[in-house]
Amino acid sequence: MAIQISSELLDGCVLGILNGQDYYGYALTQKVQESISVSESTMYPVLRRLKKNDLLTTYDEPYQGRNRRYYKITPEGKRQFGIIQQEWQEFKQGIDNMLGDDQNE
Amino acid sequence: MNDYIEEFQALLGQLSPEERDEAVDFYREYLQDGGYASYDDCIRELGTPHQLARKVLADYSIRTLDAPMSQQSRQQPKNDVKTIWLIILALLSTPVTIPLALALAGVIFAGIAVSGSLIIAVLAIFFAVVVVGITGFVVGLGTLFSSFWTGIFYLGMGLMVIGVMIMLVPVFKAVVNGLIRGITLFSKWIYNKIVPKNRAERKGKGDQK
Repeated sequence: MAIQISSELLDGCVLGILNGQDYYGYALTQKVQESISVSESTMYPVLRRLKKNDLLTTYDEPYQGRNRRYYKITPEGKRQFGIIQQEWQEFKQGIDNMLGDDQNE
Repeated sequence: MNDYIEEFQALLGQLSPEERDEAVDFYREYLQDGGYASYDDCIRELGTPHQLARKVLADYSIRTLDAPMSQQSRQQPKNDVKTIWLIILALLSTPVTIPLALALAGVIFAGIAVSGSLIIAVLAIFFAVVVVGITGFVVGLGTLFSSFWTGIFYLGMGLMVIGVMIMLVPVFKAVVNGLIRGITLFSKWIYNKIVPKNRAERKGKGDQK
């Protein structure tokens, strides 16, 4: 696909997924890849950035004798998610105006 | 998988132990959860340890660059130089894009060369003027006894030029740092342009296998 997702949007997507429930790294990556094409090595920087900005927290849960690190959205993350959602709506509207389906020649 | 992780860990030497452990833990868990047991499986999923490590490192440097200036304005030029290298390495790490990356590396190198010569030119100007100042001073001392006023004149001119140059040291420093930073931002821009493309291409290639 020629259209690439920006890091702000990717942040938003991850926050959106975590808004529903907590995920661990692999499952989260799979979940994102269900919808968009991102490389496996893209997720770590995103999660690190979100955590650094306190938009999500992590906690460990034992799983088969090892730990799984789960990612959980913070109140600040939810707020940010709302902002990104709104910005996306405006952006989407703008693009749709130019190449939306109601603009058939 | 352990071999893969060990190799990956060894390549993250530049990060702090904390940062390194975090990245290593993340990818170890990832590979375990995904059930990528063999070394080859891991490579198919994440690329070679080298590629993965370079991506992590390049991402770190770019993040540092984006961070507020105040936190790290001190060692900026050093970081910048590191960033340039890491970006070139990151570009080279994906086989598909090597021809493209080589061309880009060429462009970046040209940019570095041009800026490098500019830096040298700036330094040369600086030293030339300082030499003129010192010469004036020495000539002034020499002439002082044969012709007092001419001697004083040269002495004064020499000292003045040296003084002005010393005052201008921060300016020269800023110009040189600015040039280095310029190259870094340029490379970073190229990196941002190119890397998403890599992902898409890599994805496509992975599917064919």
